[in-house]
Amino acid sequence: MTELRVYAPDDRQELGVLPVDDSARVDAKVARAIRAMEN
Amino acid sequence: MARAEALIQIWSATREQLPDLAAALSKEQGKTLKEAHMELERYIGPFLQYAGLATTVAGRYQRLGPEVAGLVDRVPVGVAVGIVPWNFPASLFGTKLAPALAAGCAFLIKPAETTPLITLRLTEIAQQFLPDGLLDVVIGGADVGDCLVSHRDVARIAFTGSTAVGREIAARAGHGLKRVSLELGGCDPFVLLDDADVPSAVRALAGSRFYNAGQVCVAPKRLVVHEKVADEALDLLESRLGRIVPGPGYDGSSTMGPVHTDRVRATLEEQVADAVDRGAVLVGGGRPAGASVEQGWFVNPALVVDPPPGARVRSEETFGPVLTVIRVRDDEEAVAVANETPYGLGASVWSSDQSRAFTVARRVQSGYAWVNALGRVYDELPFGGVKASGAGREHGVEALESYLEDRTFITPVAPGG
Repeated sequence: MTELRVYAPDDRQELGVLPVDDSARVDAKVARAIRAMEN
Repeated sequence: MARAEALIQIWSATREQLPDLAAALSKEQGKTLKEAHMELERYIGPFLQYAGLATTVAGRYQRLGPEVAGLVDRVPVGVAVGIVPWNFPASLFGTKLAPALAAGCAFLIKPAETTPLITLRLTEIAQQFLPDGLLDVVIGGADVGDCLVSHRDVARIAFTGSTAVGREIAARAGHGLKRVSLELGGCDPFVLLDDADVPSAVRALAGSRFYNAGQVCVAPKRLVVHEKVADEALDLLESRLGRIVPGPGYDGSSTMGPVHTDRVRATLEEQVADAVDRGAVLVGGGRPAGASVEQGWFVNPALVVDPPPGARVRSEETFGPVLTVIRVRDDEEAVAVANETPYGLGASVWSSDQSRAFTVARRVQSGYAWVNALGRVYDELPFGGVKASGAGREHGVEALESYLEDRTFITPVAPGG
């Protein structure tokens, strides 16, 4: 899965499409979080 | 003090946008605008609460001998991860994020695959008042969740969701020796004894059971009612059922939105069909008709009365507007039925005799119990389950403590110093 499609439960209208994070992006976010906490 | 200021700024900035946020939450999750507004109030509440508690985090100094002393520092546990479900994507985010920030932790939130949009909007507001990178959203499914839970630099995991997924997370977290809190499923009993104020009890019961279209982990799923007052309770419940209007959340005339997905609706319908096949009586139920509801995942509220032992609704979590009704002969049988599920999240007991109610409530296995009280969860008090409903606690000072680590230092001091 590379993207996420979001639908409304009341009429199944598409509300948005988002890119899915892969492991590299998760690593980058964790690394940024550590730096932010240390600062 | 900087943490407390940031928390207050997040509270204030989010509060200013509540009407827009409520509309977005209602559309994405399905709940009514009124419910969305209530949920967002529950999202921002903890920011004020933990702003106060953030200023109380303190270490200690202890003299250990004539020339030695100890210092205990209280430090953030590290990077924390929140994994939240789709039924309360905002409030369950806030109950995790606020104590984590108060403790000084960085926080990564993984929303459910079906409710990432409200999470992104709330995060964007909060990020304005936080150092870059301290708060972020991770988007994806179970594989992304696994990646976070197994990540060597993640120290704390706060999960709300199903018991099955909770077990997996606990196993992975255990392997990494990470701190974890698990708020899992529930099949809460609502015990109505024969001397109770039945109208008051039914009002509280209906308000809790059908709120958020019945998609609440801590809500009465089973009415365990003394046979002497069962018919009175059923009449009152049926009357209340008739006043519930399923419809789109944005429509002011709707009092109950759809359930969240087709899978939720299918599971609920299977559970009800199983009970009826086994001899239970169905009151209400089915799907509403009409142009405004034909495209969505709408269901009518229902009572499933007298399902026999073994029926799925007696032991499984029913995640939708269905209330199971089980008659009992006395307090002993009420406690036995209340405890017959694998779960132990919440419980309610109603009796005009407070001592009797407390005696029963203490015997019902739950982490949170209401005794002659409305089923509200308070931010000030620890919340969590026993048995298959989880481990660890959220809310209260207990949640703040779970994001802190003690570090002890021993140091020489001058004699008499």
